[in-house]
Amino acid sequence: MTDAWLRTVIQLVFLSQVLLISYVLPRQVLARMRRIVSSYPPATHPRLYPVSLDRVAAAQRTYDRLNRAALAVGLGVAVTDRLWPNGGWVDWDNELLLIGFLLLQLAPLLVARRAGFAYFNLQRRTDPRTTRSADLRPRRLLDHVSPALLVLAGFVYAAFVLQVLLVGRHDYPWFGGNLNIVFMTGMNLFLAGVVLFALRGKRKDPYQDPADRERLMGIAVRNAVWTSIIATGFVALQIGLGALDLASLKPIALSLYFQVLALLSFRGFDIEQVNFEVYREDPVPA
Amino acid sequence: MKITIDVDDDVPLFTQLIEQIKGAVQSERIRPGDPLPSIRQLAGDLRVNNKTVAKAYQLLERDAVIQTKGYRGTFVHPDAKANSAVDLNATVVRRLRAAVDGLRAAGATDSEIRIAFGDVMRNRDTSEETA
Repeated sequence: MTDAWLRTVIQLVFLSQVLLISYVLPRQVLARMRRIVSSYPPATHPRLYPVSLDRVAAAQRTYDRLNRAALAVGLGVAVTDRLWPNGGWVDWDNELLLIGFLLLQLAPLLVARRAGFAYFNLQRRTDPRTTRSADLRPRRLLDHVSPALLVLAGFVYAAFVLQVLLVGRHDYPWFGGNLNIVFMTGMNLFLAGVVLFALRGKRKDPYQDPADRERLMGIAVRNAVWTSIIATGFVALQIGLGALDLASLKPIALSLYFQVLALLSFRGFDIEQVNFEVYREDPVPA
Repeated sequence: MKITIDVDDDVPLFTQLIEQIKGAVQSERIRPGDPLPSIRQLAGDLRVNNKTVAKAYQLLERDAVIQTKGYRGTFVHPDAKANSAVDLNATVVRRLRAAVDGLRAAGATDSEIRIAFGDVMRNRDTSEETA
């Protein structure tokens, strides 16, 4: 592959990252929010709205604007590199460019997450009920994830450790050595914490149907295990590309990796499955 | 199997928890050997302090209604049904009442009984600390 072709592929993959994370997925999220508001309005489902619809709309606008800003920056980078490939404006070999841009793309998501926590907090504070219920059944990891998937995650991690030890025998100047193991172990421990939080964390939405909560919990747990497998596999791939002298493909792998993770984290459950009856003033018993 | 507590009830939350779990054992909605949720899980679901659930579990374990098996978790005790019928609190109150009635009959004033009770409790604490 010539340098010009490689650059074109990198530009296309980057463009797909820009469009997927800053346009396609946010559009889906906003469409879902609008569908909820129109199908389950405050008049019939007051418990769903601890704040006025104006505030909900304002939060949606902020989310939309932040995504549009990230989209504009991304398109700007892509167009600049396409029009002036030799201008030295965009250095694809510098991974910080892609990582920095991803952080910019994630900013709206982080703002939305924070607003989500505040929203649930308000729901809890405005909950007039004095009774609280809980299931006397312990939640276990294997209720939500198959043993085969856990074994796969363990296998990928073990293979990664073996690869680092093998590559460490050669004297590659770019290779970080055992720091890779430390980094990935830390990341996997963090994901284990995410799983624990999902299984044993505080109930956020006070009205949520227990079946919906279980489903969301399952999605969070499976996403964390898949993230572990994909992230560990990705770092192994990066090391492999470096060892095979294919470092020029790293930006493509990095961008595709971000897109897979984005698709994974945006994978929510279908709102058609959600029991919105619990948000009525006088909910219909299940 | 669901349990429900009322945060506005005059009965302390840990007592409500104990009563609910004992009730579930009595009605056989949970059986000996059944696993129970962890303290953190139950506290998170009920939106109460971890210490509240920990206290309820501690007292249930003392009464041999539940048992903790290290890292494996908490389970319903094999003799839970018989043990949950025993109300240690009621026994304490009954025996104390009998003792107070006896002391009053012997001519002791309420004030003397209260002071003596306090002394006995303090002495017990002191002797435990010394031991």
